[in-house]
Amino acid sequence: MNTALFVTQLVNGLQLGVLLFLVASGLTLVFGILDFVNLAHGVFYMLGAFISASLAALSGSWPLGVMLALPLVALAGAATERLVARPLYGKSHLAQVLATFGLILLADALAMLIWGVEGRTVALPAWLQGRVAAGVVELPVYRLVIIFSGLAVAAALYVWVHHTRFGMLVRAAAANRAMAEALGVDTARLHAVVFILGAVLAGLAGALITPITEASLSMGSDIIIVAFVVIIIGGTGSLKGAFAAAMLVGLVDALGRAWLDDLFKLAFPAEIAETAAPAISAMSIYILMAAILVLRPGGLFPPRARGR
Amino acid sequence: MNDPLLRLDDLHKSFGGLKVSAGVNLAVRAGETHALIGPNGAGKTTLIAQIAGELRPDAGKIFLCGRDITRLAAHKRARLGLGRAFQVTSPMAGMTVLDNALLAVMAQMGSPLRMWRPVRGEAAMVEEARAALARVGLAEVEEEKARDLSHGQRRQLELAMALAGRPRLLLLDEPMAGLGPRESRDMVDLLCGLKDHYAILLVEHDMDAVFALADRISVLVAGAIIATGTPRQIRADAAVRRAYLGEEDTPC
Amino acid sequence: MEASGRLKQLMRWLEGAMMAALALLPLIAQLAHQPFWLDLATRLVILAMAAASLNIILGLGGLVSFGHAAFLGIGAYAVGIPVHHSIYGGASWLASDNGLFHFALAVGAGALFALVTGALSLRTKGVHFIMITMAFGQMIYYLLESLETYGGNDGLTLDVRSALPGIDLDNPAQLYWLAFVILAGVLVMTWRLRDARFGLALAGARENARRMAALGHDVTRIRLAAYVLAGAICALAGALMANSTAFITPAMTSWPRSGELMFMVILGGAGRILGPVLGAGLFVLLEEALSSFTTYWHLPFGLLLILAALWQAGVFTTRSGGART
Repeated sequence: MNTALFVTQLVNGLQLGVLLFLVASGLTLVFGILDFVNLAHGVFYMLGAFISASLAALSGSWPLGVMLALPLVALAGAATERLVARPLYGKSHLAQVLATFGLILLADALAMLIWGVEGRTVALPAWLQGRVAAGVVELPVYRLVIIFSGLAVAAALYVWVHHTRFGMLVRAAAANRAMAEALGVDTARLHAVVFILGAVLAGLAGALITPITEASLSMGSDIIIVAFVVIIIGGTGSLKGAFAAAMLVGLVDALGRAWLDDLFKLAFPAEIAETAAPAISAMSIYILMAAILVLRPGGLFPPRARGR
Repeated sequence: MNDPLLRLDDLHKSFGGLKVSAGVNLAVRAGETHALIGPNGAGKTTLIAQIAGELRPDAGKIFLCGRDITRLAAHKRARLGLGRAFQVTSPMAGMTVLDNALLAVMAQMGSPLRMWRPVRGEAAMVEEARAALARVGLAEVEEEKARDLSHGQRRQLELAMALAGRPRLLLLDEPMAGLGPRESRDMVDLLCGLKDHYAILLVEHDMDAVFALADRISVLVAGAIIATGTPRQIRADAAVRRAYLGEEDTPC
Repeated sequence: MEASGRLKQLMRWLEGAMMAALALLPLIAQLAHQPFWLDLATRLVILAMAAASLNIILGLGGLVSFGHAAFLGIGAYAVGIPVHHSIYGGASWLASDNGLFHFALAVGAGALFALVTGALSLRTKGVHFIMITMAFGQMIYYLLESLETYGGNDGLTLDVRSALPGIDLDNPAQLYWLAFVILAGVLVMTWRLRDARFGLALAGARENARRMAALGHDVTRIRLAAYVLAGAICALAGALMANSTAFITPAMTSWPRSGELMFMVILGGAGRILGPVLGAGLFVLLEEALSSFTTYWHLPFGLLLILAALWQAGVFTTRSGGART
C-alpha cells in the first residue's frame, strides 16, 4: 500500500468532509428546527463561490473577497428566508420543495446572467500556495488550511450551541419546537438566525473550495444531494451527526475513488473491474447511506420523538 | 376460559432518566369492562401506547388472547382483535365518514391491494361499514367530511372505527373528553350497550362514567398499579384515596 | 374546500379537449404541415405517462418522491444498452433489438429498483423521505454517468429503435399512437385504482397513516406496492422516450427532472386522473414558449414555480393541501 497516496487521499477526504460539514450543518438545523425542506441551500454555496471570486478579482485580494462575500451571502439568506421560506413554514413539504426548486432555477438563471456560462477561477495568494512536508508526503498548504478552518468553525458552532443562551434556545427548538414556542421563545428571530447562519456557512464552503476547483453554475445542485446524504446518515437536526457523517462521507468518497479500482482488480477479472469500479465508487456514498438506513432508519443520531 | 384477554406482565418503560412505567401488571378478562384511572402524569398515555404497539416496553410482556404481542407491530395487533379509539380524535379528516368506516372494515376483509373494482360496489363491505356507523348513530352523516363533524360526532366516529374491525378487546382512551353533559350521557349509554359484546379497557377521568361502566378498576400512580378491584373496593381503598387527595376530578 | 365548481368545470373541459386533440394529433399535424407538432406531442404524451405514474404515489398517496426521474433513465437505458450491444457486440445475454424484451426489461428493472429503494425509503417520512428518494435518484444519475461503455455523460445514441411486431417505431405517427394508447391505458388504470380498495387505502394512509395502522392496515406494504407500480410505469415511459428521441443521457435522471415531473403533477391538479396530461401539456408549451423568448427561460419558470408553490400552499387542491396535519 502506497503510504504517500493514502495520506494524500486521507487529507482529501478530510477536506471534503469539512466542507460537507459546513454545508450540511446549517441545513440540518433548518430541517430539524424549521422542518423546512430547503432544496435551494446549494444556491448559497454557489453564491459564496461566485461572489468571493468576483470580489477577489475586483479588490486584488482573495481573503478580502471571501470576507466581503459572506455578508452578501447573509443578505441573500435573509431575503430568501423572508420571502420564500417564512410564508411556507408549517405548510406542506410539497409546497416547500416546489418553491425552493423554483428558487434554484431562478438563482441559476440569475447567476448565468451575471457571471456567464463559464466558471470563475481564483488564484490563491502566494502565502497560501505551496506545499508542506509531512513525513513521507508533501501536502498542499491550502488543503490543510481548509481542514483547520472547518474544524475551527465546527468547534465554534459547538461552543455556540452548547455554551451560549441562544445556542441553548436553538437546541431546545431542535428538540421540541412546539414546547419552545410555548415557552415564549421568539421563534421568528430564531428561525431567521438559523436560516441565515446556514446560508453563510454554505457560502463560506463555496468560497473555500473555489481556488481548488472553480465557481461553476452546477456546483450548488451537485453539493446539495451530498449534503442530504450527510444529513440522512447523521440524523436530521443533529450537528454532532452532521459532523460525523460529513467526515465519514468525505473519507468514503475519497478513499473509495482511489482504491476501489485496485480492490476490485484483486477480486474480479479486469474487464468487470474496469466497469464496476468506477460505477461503484460513484455510488459509494449512496451505498453507505443505504447500509446505514438498513440498520438505523433515523440515521446515526436520530431526532428524538417530538411527542404527540 | 381462564386466560385473560389482555395481560400486561411487569412492563417497564423509561425515557432517559424518567421512569414512566415501573412494573405494570394488569389483566382484562373476557367480557369485562376494566377501567384504568390515575392522576395526571401517572403514565396512562405511555401505557396505552405500549399496548397499542406504538411504543416498545423496555422490559416485560404483553399478551393478547394468550399470544405474546410484545414485539408485534401495531397494525398486526389490530388484526388480532385489538380495537382502538384515540383520545384526540384521529380520523382520516379529508375523507367522508363512510370512507372512514370502509377503511376500518377493509382492514379485516382481505387484501387492500385490489385495484380494479370500485370499493363502493362491494356490497358486503359497504353494508358492514354502514352498520358500524348506525350502531353509533352516524348513519345520517355518512357523506360528510370527517373534519366537518362536531366534536361529539367525531367521538362517535372514533368508536365506530374501533368497532368496525370486529375487535375482541376495545381500547378506549378518554372517550368522554370534551363532551357536554348530554353528550356524556349519550356516550355512557352507547358504551353500556357495548359492554355485553366486547372486553373493554377504558382510560378515563370522568368518574361518573367510570363507576357506571366499570366491572373492575385499576389505579395507576407513578407508573405502577397500586390497586385493582371492583368499584366498591376501589372507593374504599385507602391508598387510592391518598393518591387522589387534592385531585378531585369533577364529573362533567 | 375543493376548487370551485366553475374551475372544476373549466379543468374538465380543458382535459377533454386536450385528450381529443392528442388522440387525433398526427392527423392534425399532417394537415397543418407541422411535423414539429408531432414531436412536441410525443414528448408531451411520454412525459404525461411519467407524471401519471408519479400521480399515483404523489397525488393519491401523498408521497413526495423527488427521485422519480431515475425511472425514466432506467427505462431508457433498458432500451439503449441492449441496442448498443446488439450492434457493437459484447454482453450477448443482453444484446437485443427486440422491443418486447426492451419493455419487459425496463418494467422489470424499474420495479426492482422501486422495490429495493422503496423498502428503504418508506421506513421514513416527511423531510427524510424526500431527501432519501432524491439521493437514490441521484445515485442512478451518477451510476449512468460512470458507465463509459454507454457514453457516460455524453450520452448514448440509439442506432436502431426497438423492433415490435406489427409496429414500426421509426414511423413517428406509429410511435406516437403506441405511446398514446399506453398512456390511455395508464390513465384508465389510475382511474379504476383510485376508486378501488387500493386507492382508498392509499388515500387513507395519506390522510392519517397512524390511524390506518391502528385499524390494522400495513401502511408500508400499501405504499410500497404503489411505489413499485409507479416505478414500473415510469420506466416504461423511459423506454418509449429512448425510442422517441433515439438519444439518451444520464441527465434524464437528474433531480431537476424529477422536480419538473412533480411540477406537472401539481400544475394539472394532484390526484386528478387527467391532471398529469394537463400538467405535462402546460409544461411542454411553457418550455417551448419561454425558451423561444430567452435562453434564460429558467428565470420566469423558476418564478412561476415559486408562485405556484405559494398558491398550492394557500389554496386547497384535491388533497388537503395547505397546512400540514
